[in-house]
Amino acid sequence: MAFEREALPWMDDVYRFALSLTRDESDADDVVQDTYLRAYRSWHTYLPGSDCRRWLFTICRNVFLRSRERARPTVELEATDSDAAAAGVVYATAVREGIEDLFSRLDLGPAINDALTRIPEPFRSTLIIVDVEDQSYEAAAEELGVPIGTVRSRLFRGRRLMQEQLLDYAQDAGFKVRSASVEQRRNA
Amino acid sequence: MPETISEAIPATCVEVISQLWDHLDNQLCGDESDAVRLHMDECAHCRGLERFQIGYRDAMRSARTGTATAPWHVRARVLDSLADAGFCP
Repeated sequence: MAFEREALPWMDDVYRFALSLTRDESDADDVVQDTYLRAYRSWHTYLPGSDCRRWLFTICRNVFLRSRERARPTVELEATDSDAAAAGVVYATAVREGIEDLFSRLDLGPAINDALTRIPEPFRSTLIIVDVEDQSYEAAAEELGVPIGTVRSRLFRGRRLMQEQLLDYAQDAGFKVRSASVEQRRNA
Repeated sequence: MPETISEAIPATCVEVISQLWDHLDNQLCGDESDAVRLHMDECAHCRGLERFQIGYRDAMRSARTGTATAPWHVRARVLDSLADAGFCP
């Protein structure tokens, strides 16, 4: 059967994508199950020979978003191009605080997972597809069903929100204090 | 944080900074990308920001769920629910 041959082999990929979106194994299990059920019921809409993985990812993301809507309302914000320049403000703050090297000197894995759960949709999905999963703007646009310009503006806003949260994390973790003590040792 | 962008960023850098992510994401055409690179060669502030953004991108990629595979119980759940919907492998 075509469904077995084309859709089922992508289960590991769908699981990883679901895990990226949910950041929770139990929630990912539910999303994967629902994704495959919906895919099976909608199999007649799949265009043979097209990218089945991407088709499944689109369903997976929609399943995830519906589950999130049930859990809590999503926040819709429109990003603007000024966010691109405003991202420099985060960096300027990091320089002033002496933590501009936080990404190379801190293990941010847990902080990134935590921060991602706080980023509102639609920015979160866009960040996961492009920044975490390292897919192109074009792939993100297709999966999200939006123009490339929208992917771009969502990334500007989403990246700024992420960096603000990671900066807060570094400050809360006392990274500034460590940097200052290193500086004092250098000057001694 | 600074109240305005101009408080934080030199005025000559604002345009380049607004294009920085497009540059890092290979979304600029050749001439535009060359202009950003030329500015970077001369501007320590923007080079620092570029390093900062690359560091962010690398950190985000490290959060990728990597080689995780669907556990057996997920496969079983998927196949059970598909069977209930009429799927016969």
